[in-house]
Order: sequence, then C-alpha cells, then structure tokens
Amino acid sequence: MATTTEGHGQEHGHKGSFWKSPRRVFGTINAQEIGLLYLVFATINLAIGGLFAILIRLELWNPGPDSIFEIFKIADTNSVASDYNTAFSLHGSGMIFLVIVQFGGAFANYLLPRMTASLNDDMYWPKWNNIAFWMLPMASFLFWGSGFNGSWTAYPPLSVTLSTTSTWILSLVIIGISGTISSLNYFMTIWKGRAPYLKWKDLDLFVWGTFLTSILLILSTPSIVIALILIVFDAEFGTNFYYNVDDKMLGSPVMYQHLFWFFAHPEVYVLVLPAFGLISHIISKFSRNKIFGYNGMVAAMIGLATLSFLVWAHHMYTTGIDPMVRIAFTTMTFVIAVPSGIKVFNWLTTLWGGKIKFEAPMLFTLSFIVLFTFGGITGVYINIVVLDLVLHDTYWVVSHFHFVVASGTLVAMFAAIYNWYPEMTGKMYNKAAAAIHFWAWSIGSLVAFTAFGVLGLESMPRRYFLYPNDPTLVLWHRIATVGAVLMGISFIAFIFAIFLGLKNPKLDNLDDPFGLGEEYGGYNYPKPFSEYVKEEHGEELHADHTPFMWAPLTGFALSLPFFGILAYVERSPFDDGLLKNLAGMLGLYVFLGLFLVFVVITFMKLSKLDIGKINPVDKYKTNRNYEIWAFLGSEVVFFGILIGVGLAMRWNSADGVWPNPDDALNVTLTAVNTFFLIISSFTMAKALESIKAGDQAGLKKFLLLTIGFGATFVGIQAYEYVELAKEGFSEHHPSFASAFYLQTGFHGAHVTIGVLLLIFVYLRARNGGYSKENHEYVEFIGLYWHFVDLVWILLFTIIYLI
Amino acid sequence: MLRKNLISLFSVLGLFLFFPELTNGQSNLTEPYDKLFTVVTIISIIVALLVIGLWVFFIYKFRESQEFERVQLSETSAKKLEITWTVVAVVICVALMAASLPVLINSVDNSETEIARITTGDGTEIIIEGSITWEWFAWQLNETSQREEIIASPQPDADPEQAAAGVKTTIINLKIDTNYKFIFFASSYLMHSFFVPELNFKMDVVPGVNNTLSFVILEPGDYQVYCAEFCGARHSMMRAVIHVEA
Repeated sequence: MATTTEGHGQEHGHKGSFWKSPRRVFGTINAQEIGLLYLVFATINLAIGGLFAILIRLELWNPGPDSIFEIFKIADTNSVASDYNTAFSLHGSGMIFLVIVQFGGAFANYLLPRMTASLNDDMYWPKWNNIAFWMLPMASFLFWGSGFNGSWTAYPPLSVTLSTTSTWILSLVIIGISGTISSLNYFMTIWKGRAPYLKWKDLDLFVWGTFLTSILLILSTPSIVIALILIVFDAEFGTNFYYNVDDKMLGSPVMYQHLFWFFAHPEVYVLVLPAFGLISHIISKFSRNKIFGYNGMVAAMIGLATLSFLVWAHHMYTTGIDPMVRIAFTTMTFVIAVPSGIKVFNWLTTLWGGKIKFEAPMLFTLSFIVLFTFGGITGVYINIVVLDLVLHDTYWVVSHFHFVVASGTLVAMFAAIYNWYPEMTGKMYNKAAAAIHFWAWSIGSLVAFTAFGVLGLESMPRRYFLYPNDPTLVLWHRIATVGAVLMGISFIAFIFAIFLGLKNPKLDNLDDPFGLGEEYGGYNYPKPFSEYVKEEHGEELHADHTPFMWAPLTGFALSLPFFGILAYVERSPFDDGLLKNLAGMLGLYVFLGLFLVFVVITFMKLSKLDIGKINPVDKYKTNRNYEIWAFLGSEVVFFGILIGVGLAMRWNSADGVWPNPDDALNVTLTAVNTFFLIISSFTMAKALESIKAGDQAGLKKFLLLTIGFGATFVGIQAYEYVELAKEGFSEHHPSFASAFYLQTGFHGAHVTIGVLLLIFVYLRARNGGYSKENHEYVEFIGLYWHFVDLVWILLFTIIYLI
Repeated sequence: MLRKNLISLFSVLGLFLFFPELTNGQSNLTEPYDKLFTVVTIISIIVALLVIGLWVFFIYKFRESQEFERVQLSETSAKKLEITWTVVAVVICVALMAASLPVLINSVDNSETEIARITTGDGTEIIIEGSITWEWFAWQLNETSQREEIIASPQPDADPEQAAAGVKTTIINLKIDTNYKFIFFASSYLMHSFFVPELNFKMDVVPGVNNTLSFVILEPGDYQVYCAEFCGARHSMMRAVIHVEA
C-alpha cells in the first residue's frame, strides 16, 4: 500500500498563488487553504492580545497608577482603572477565543483531510468550513472594538451594568456559532468522513485530540452562549436571571458561575487537547521514535475529555457553595490530574531509545513538556480547597493558567507552525530568528510566570492596577514585566522567522526538509481515498475546489442580525427626544433588512443549485443521518440548560413568588397550539414518506401543510406574548416571566428557523431537487422538526402544566 | 546549551524553596494549612525534579550526535512502566486528597451557607458590608438600641501615595481570643470577596446571599484585607485592616 510522506502539501493547485488571488482567499473551500487563513487570523489576534499584555505589565511596573493607558484611548472613560480593566478583559478573552481556539482550528483544517484520508479529500462540509471562518473577522472587530472591561469571566451583576458588555457578548455569540459549525465539521470528518480502511487505532493522536475537542465544544458551547445571553437580557430587557433591582426577587449571580464554568472548564481542554496531539506528533518525529503507549495516550485523552465536564465547580470554592459539593469537585479534579501526568511520562519515554534532532519544532516541544508540568503542579495547589481559600483570585492562579496556556498550548502551536512551515511554503523558516524566538519565549515566560507564582504566594490579588507599596511586590512585578517584554521581543523574532523564511530559496527536498533521514524521519499520511477508489473501483474522484463566493458572503451576512441587535441596544449617541431612539431603531431595521434580503436571495439561489447533481463521494458515506444527530446533540444540551435554568429559578425562588401557571398563563390556548405543532410533525412524516415513494406532489403538499402549521404555531405564540404584555405579566411575576420568555422564546426561534428551512426545502422540491433515491435533506429537516416538537412537549409540560 | 538549561531550571526551582511561608500562622485556622502547603510542596518538588531529571537525562543521552545502538523497550517492560506510573500518579493524588480532607471536614458544620472553621458557630456577630461605592463597612448590633450600627468605615489609606490614588482602608478592631462570626452582605449589585491572606480567610460577598465565617484570632497584629472578586473600577482600592490588640 503506497503512502505519501509529509511534503506533498503542494499537490492541490497553485499553492504559491493562493494569497495572490482575492477570489481564492475569500471563496476557497479547500480546507488546507482555509487552515492558512486561520493561521493568519490567529497570529494577528495574538499580536493584539500580546500588546495588551505588555501594556498591563508596564502599568504594574510601579505600585501606583501610571496612566500608561492615556496613550491609548481604549474605553469610554478617562480613568486608568477602566482602561486597565479593558486591557486585561480583552487580553484574556481574546487570547482564548480568537487565538488559541483558532490556532487549533488552523491545524485541524490543514491536517485533518489528509490524516483521515477523508472521502472527499476535504472537510465533511467544505462550504460550511468557509462560512465558519469568514464569520470571524467581523466578530473580531466587534470584539476588540467593544472595549469590554468586565474581565473574561464577565461575572454578573457587575457585567450586567457595564455599557461595554453587550457588544462583547454579541461578538462572542458569533464566535461561538462559528466554533460550533467548525466542531461539527471536524467531528463528522473524523467519524464518518474517514476512509473505511482507516481504523481508530491508525489515527494520528492529533486527530484523536481534535475529535475529542470537537465533542467538548459541541456539548459545552450552548452553556456559555446561554450564560452570556442571559446577561444581555438582564442588561437590555429587564429580566432578572442574575440581577434585579427589586430586592425580593434577586436573581442568582452564582447561577451564572455554574453555567459559565460548566462551559469554561471543558473549554480549557478544548484549548489543550489539539496541542497534546501536535506535541505527540512532533516529539515522535524528531526523536525518530514511535510515540510510546499509543493506547494509553488515547485513553488519557478520552479520560480528560469525559472528566472535564465533572470538575467545573473547582473555580467556585470561595462562593459559599456546600462544603460537601466542594469535596466532591476536589476529588474529581484530582482524578483528572492523573491522565495529564500519564501523558507527560509517555512523552518522556518516547525520547528513550530515540535519536533526537534539535530543530525549532522539537525545541518548543521539549520546553512544552517541562513548562506544562510546572503549570499542572501549580494547579494541584488550588484544587485543594483549604489552600484555594488563600490562593484563589491571586496571581497564583494567573501563574497556573499562563504556564499551561502560554508556555504550554501556545508553544505547541509554535512548534507546529515551524514543523509544517516547509510544507506550507516550500521553503525553510529563518532558523536564526526561530532560535531567538525559542530562547526568548522560554526564558521570558519562565521568568514572568514564576514571578506570577511568587506574587501569588505574596497574596497579590488579581485584576489590580495598583498594589501596596511593598518592596517584595514591586520587585516581583518588575521581574514579571521584564519576562513579558522578553516575550514581546520573542514574538517579533517569530514574525521575522516566518517572513524572512519566505525569502529563502525553494527547498529541494520537500519530503524531508529537516534532514531526519530514513530512520522514521517522517509521518506517513494514509493513502488518499481517491487513490484507493481508483485502485479498487477504477473510479476517478476529483475534489471540486472551485471557490464558492456565496460562502464568505454568508459568513459576513450571519453577523448582520447581531449588528442590528447591537444598534438597538447600544447607548444612543443622542441624548433626548426622537433622535434618541431613532439611531438605534434605524440601525436595527437596516441591518435586519439587509439580512432578510440576503436570506431571500440565498434561498432563491441555493434552491436551484446543483439540482440533480449527485456528489460522487456520497455513495461511500454510511448512514448520513448522523449529520443531523450530531447537530441535535448540541441542541439537546442547549434546551437541557434552558430547562435547567428555569427549574433552578423556580426552586430557588422564595415562597409565593412563583405563580401557578394556570393563573399567569393561558394554558388552553397553548394546548391548542401544541396540538397544531403535533399535527405538523405528522404532516412532516407524511412528506418524507411521499418522497421515499417518489411522490413529488405529495412531498410538496405535505411540506406546505407543515409550513402552515408551523407558522400558525409561531403566530399564536406571538399573540400570546402580546396578550401577556398587555396584562403586565413581567411586572407581576418578574422571575417567572424571565424564565418563561427565555424558554418559549428560544423554542419559538427554533420553530421559526425550522419554518424558514422548510420553505427552503419546499422551494428546492419545486425545482425537482429531491427524488426517491436522493432526499437526505428532507429527512434531516424532518428529524430537526420532530426534535423541536418533542422539546415543546417537554417545555409545555414543565412550564404550563406542573 | 544543556548545562545552561540545567542551571537555569534548577535555580528557578530553587526560588520556589525560598518563598516565604504561605502565612505566619495567626489564627487557629492556619496551622493545618501551613502543614498541608508544605506537604503539597514537597510532593510537587519531587515530581518536578523527577520530570526535569528524566527530561535532561534523555535529551542528553539520546541526542543524535550520540552514535549508539538504538534500544527499544520490550512490550512487557513497556506495559509494566505504564502500569507503574499510573499507579504512582493515582497514589499521589489519593495521598493529597487524604492530606487535605481532614482539614476541610473539620471546617464543615451542618448549616447550609455557614462554614464554621471552629467547633462552635456562635460568636459575636459582625456584618461586613461590601458596598456599591467600593468600600468595606462593618456593622454590629447595638445591645441597647437594638439597631445595627456602623463600627468601622473607610478612611483614606495610611500610605499617602495610595491614599492619593484613592485607596480606602476600613480599620476593623477586634479583640484577641474572642469568637466572632462575620456575616457578609453585599449592599447592592456588586460582588466582592473578603480576603485576609494572613488569616487564610476568603469568602465571597454575593448579592442576595449571606455567607458567614466564624473564627478566633490568636495573635495581635494588623491583618491586611483585600477585595478578591473583580468588582469594577475601584476593585484595587477597596481595602481593610483587621486590627487586633494584645
């Protein structure tokens, strides 16, 4: 069985001219090229985040306020404090959401199709891949421009009261949607898009890491999206999930922390698992040794992924939660320390009996092992509740997460960038600059983060822009600043290494640019699926990489509704009168209008696209229903959390506050409405039955009926909302109303989107897009519709009946 | 290059040993904490030295300029190795868990939000308020008038430079060897956290929740208090001092 070695990344078209063609840059659906786009995006955001870090450290050079930020007008007040708060809030959240996650996405895109010998030689959904990327630049403008100053954890009630919060949150919602789309793509590519001859045990550990990461993201993103959206609701629409002026019905700030950390703990494993995979790949390559204990490594990663959902409250030990709960989480957190430790030992043992070549990728990989271990050790301290009581919210925690992320995960990304640089560019990076990058980063980060640890032991609290004039504190802050400046210099060296490398001559030997030789010098990508199909069936499969310009347009357009909401909620620049609301309302209508126009044009265009054209790869796919099941998995978590929030509010409310549903709501009307929804499921099933029998007329008829019933449901729900508003529903029962609108509103939005999708399917059916043999999407929309229906039965029972 | 690696790494590790103790052991809550911290540190140093030691050794021994016969681990020894270090890792975690549990359990009593750190939860009640103005206030029930009265309010900080920047310090006077029960109260929508490093206290001040902390202070002194939950513009400037006379 022939294998291709690393170095054949140039095969797909004119790699050199990718950047020169704007059409390809925007419209590419080739995962390898999209990977490069992610790399550039993440690097730019790394520079911005790093700049904020330098500003923070300069501010802390002296114990008193230094007005570093006067130079940069960042937030909307003059106070140093506010600008400083913006600096660390954007630094932290930017590094996580716009840098590390996106570096992981870069390599996922660049490597997965070849490492999984994917059926279509690309991601499972190439066009959605492009859409997911092009949503990000718009989001990042909103993000950095928000000037958010509420800390990356955005705890309410403070965040509810800040004017910068809504913009920041809306940008994160866009980023979250992009991340979910990408995660579904990686998940399906690895699971169902893989060549049949590639077994789980043959997959590179990076594939395993990305697979588990995608599952974590799919299941945890709903939690943070809800947590953040509830802040926006509290801030803009007067709900009281977290905060209410009326003392009697105080929302629960701690509920936010549970929702936030339920996402944010798995998130840190999202950050690190792909990095683990890359480290395993590179350490094995440069020590010319198979990775030690493949099965143990896989088991450790699966363990980490599973356990990551069970440890979230270790971020909440000082909130006053039940001591027994704290003991439980301490235990689980100790359990999760074990797999990480095992991985470190496996990496070390990979070096045994090896023949190590010290190139930049290997240098970074080696420093990862030690510095990540330091980070892990600092984490053990804060897991122990009694120690956490002193160390929580001090620089000790800052030291911990900087060691694991900035000296850990980010370093793994640097290693990977250098490792695949020859393949991506055909040239070698500038080795002198790379060496400076390595030494300056290793020393700088070790110094800076150790200084953080010392400051933590000196009880220096986090998020302080001024501190007591104590010589020890001043000394270690200054040491940390020196380390940080060294890291800044290192980053500049990194840029030089990349760009000076482009001036190097083209490499002769792309198969082995690092000169590792025959002795296990390279990773062998599995045989491409198209090659296998040619050999076995004589069929020629060509991946269609024609740029699809509608995809980036969709990416941009998906941020339009968010701009509209933003225009509506942002504090109007006008003080009073008609103009006060006009700017906001105008903005809302304009953006929503543009979005609607886009949706209509998209419907008309796509409903005619590729009618009757069969994708030749489709016949090799097994059980395509998993495409919709994977998405529904995240929806299950989403609605589960919404229901959970409602129940938590109900159980925590004081006696007499939560009304009897019968008194507050029109149960009969909604029961009738439920009946319509149930009938619509029946007509949907009939629609699918029709097309399975080849009955085009039946398909269209039943689709129309389903649309009708669905629209009726939404209409009656809208009527219900209007009636409730007239009665002063939210004034009489603030908590109940908050929970009510949250659950039924999101459900109604799902029904509305379902109706829109059904209209699209109907239009496509009218154009002859479905047949007896080819009707997957009718089945998918049917499954989505039944799911939404089932959720409603659950919601109706919980909210209206009991 | 390797020697430089070694020296720099060991010197940094050495720094960990020269850190001041976590606390000075001032209240009856700190002795077990100090012991636990020491235990964790010893285990951590052993693990760190092991990892660094192996790392340095393997890098040195298996670098490519060393021409030698490449040996591979046999399958049985590989299995043994993996089992051994899994067991060792689990044992270390169990040991840490065992070490930390008694201290935690002794600090648990039966009420929902209370965390009594000593055996009796009844002490002189003092309400600690974290306010919307980024200041700490202490209130106590006046026996005669049966009303809560402020017994400590914020003053400009003792350090003139900090005071000029706006730092406020509330001096709370407490008696030595006396049972106290702090009840934390957030007077509006800001969340704070009452952090006294030298006494190993940290408790969040959450709007709508009244966390409590019961304690006895055994030695006189001035114990610095910080706000340890980000609360916005003046988070850095809200301080207090617990002043205990002999």
